[in-house]
Amino acid sequence: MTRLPLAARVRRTMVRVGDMLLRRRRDAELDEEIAAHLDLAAADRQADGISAEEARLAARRAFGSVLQTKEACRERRGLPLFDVLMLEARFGLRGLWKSRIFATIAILTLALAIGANAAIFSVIDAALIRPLPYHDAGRLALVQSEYRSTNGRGGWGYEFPASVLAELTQKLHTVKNLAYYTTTVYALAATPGAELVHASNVSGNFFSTLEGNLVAGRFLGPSDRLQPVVVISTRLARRLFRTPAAAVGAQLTLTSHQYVVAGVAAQSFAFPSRDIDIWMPAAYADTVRVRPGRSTFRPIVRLEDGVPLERARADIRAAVSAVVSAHPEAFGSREVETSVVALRERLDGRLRPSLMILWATVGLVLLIACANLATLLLARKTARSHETSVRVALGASLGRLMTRDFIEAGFLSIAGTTIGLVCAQLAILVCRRLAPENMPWLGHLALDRPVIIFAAGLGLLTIIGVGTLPALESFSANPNRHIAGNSTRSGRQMRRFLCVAEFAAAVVLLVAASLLMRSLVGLLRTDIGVRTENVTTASLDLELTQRPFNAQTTELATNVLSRIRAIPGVRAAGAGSSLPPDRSHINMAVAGKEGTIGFSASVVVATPGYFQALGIRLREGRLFSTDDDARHPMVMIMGSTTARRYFGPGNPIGREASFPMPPVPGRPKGYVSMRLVGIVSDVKYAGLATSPPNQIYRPLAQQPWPALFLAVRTDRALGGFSSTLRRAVAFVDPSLVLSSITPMDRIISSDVNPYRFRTVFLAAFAGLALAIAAIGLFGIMAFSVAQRTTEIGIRMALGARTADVMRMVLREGILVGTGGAVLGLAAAGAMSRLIGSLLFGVSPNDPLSFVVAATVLLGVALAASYIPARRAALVDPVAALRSE
Amino acid sequence: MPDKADVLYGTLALMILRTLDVLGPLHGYALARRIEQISHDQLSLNQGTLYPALTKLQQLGLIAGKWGESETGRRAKFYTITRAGRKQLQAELENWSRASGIVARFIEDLS
Repeated sequence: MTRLPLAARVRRTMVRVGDMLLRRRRDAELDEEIAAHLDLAAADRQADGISAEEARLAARRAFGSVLQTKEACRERRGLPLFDVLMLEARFGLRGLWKSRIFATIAILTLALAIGANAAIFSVIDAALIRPLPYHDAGRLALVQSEYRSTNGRGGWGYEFPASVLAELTQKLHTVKNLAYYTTTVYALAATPGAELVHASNVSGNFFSTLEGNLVAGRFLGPSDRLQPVVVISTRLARRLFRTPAAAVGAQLTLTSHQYVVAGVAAQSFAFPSRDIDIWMPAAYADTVRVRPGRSTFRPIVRLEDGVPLERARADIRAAVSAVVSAHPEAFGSREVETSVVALRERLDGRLRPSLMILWATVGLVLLIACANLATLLLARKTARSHETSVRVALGASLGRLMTRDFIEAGFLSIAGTTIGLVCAQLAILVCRRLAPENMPWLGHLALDRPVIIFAAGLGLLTIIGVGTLPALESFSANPNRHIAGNSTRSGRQMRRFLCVAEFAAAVVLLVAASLLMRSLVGLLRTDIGVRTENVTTASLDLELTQRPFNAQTTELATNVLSRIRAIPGVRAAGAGSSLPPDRSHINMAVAGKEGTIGFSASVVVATPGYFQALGIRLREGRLFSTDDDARHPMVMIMGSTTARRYFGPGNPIGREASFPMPPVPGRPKGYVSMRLVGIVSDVKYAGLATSPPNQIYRPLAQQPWPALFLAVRTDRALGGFSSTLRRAVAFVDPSLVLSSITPMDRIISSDVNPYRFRTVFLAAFAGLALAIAAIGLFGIMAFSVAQRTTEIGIRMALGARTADVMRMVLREGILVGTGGAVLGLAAAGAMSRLIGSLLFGVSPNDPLSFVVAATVLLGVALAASYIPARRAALVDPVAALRSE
Repeated sequence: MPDKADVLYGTLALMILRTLDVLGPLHGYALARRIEQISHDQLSLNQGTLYPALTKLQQLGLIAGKWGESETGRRAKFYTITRAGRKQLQAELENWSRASGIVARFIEDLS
């Protein structure tokens, strides 16, 4: 016959599929048709005058084999390969159903491993893979410059005046757009009082450079430069106006100026940061500032199409250097450090190491689960060797045997993946619920298509990984084998080896988990230098009231504090420009006097009461008093390490030193000579995991500073304290903005959150890995005991005692455990440096962590072998021997 | 009587199509009988081998089967050639006469 057209072939396949589904009916039809044929043939012959019986036989003869005909038709009809698969699948399913416990364990292990992988992948997808919500975001880059500000008096600048940026734009060749922005805060008039909102003042081309998403209204353009218009966040729009659409055209009062809402940015628009609620034209914002013309900005650029980041980097660096050199009046020197960082990299940088480690961890867990499954399947295969031998003897092809192995692995994997995805969804829901405020992206996790595809891919890999070993075993399937003996030595070795590998991998995770756990404990126990219990903090921004900032401003703070001190239950109250662990308004670097070594310190402006409220201990001298004001000599207090570092050994109280101080109205910027009046214990102002920076405290009255943190210590936790505080502040001046009222404890714990997050995850995964490995060991031990029942029976008949038998079995388990521990510790030793950057106060080679991991592992190995050992010990020698 | 010829591979389908084309709807037994008769009982055809071929032709849509009643009143499945079957038959016949023509020329020219 000629080659069939495609349509006919498609038709044939479809008919075949249809036939397959209608198998019963088609079979019946065929039976009937053949019966009719035979009847007709017989009747025909009978007409020729032969007896009915003979006619029937003749008809049968002429027809040939009925059975063969039927089989031939049947073969034509269905999909033969599919039939074989279905048959083997039914076989496999029945086999798994018969060993339900095995199947359940296998599926659950796989489900946990794949679920963990899917969950972590969803985190990675949300944090690192999902494209940024800006058009062609790969072309966006941040220009981060650091230059020495004015005349080498110390201090660094990171932002540029708009005029300089305009000049910079002219000099760039590789950049399509240069936009700029800065962040600030405004007092948003609300009823009652005012609240603080984070805002960004942006250049006219800011939105057209980023090309982000809008949910209502319009973005700002160059024509809005001098208009009182703003774009607000979806969050703020919902809070103030219920819906984004309702917000467009509405009026807002920000720090006593009126603005019209032009548009509402999508939730995904989170630049420069997630907490921005207002975007305002920079030029207009500058005109309403207390001191106009002083605004400075950071650039963000969109690269020209096709320009690689490397080339743009060189271009931008050269241009920045040229501009800085051309403006000696604005920049202290020609030194400038410029880095050009892809936007994505900036946003990911902090998260990437933790996530990569978690990913590696869950990958390892999956490997362990696969090894485990392979072990169990191999063991099953051995147990089934009798059946296999029979099938081989009856002519089953190697292909059919291997099909069976892969089908079994396939069932387990599909079930495992499905349940795993359910687990992942649960994990994601938990994560979303528990997402701490400072890790908001956790709230955006979703089991979306990429995650499901990823999990399905893993499932497929699992089938291959898990099915291969047992399938390879099929090669050695030999009808004679089961006569010769039960399990081959090589099979047992292979299973033991896999188990050792599982334990080794589990040890690596255990070591990592205990290192992180020790870091977390260290972090939680770390002395930040303050006593946090019953301390409430808040932010008080005096400048937001639009009063000219001067010495009277400090009086306002003093009044607020004395009002607060009058609240019953308040033991101490103070204000300062910094708040541990890392909230700080002045991170001013201080260069040493000429001739001395460079010396940088945090300057903390503090009122009397600040130290008492935070519980900062006085070591020497005295704390600030109300007398330390502008009319009295300049004084300072130092942290104890700072004092020792600067003045050397001996009592430095009463000594003078001069440091550059931030400018104060009525006093030029520059060095101020101050007398050291007190030394206090060190406080961590640069973050929990960082050692305390040098610290110099100055009285607020001598060093006015508008943005302050309040700290209030009470006798006990007071209910409704935040509204009490608000009332006290409003009583002094209703236009004062008090924000972020937070218990100190909460600040610390939210700072610990990222550490806690990765520690909890890693510990959970290490536990999971260990559990899976233990299940594996239990499985092979139980199996090996079952296999050796006869041998054990003989041993006991020959006089072995229960204890001997138990020892024999336990020895095998311990051997596997020890092997795993040794291998794993070696691997952990080689790899623990990789997580060095995530550790705090623990060396990557911390012996305790290693010992703990090894001990836990051996304990688990012993426990996993105990039950099989008991079972072995309970073998009845008579029954065991008789069964042979 | 000389040995009966085996049915040439692929020719059974052609015979079925041709028979149905010429004689109209037939059930399996009648079809088998006609093929035997046309070949003057020279073909050794196990009548059963007809059925896999019928199944295949049906799958390809070249013939269609329908239950009906035979002349003796027995319920039987009747096959008819479809339009696609006629087209296929035409192509096959052309192929066949070309091939047999070539073979015939070999036999005549070289003898």
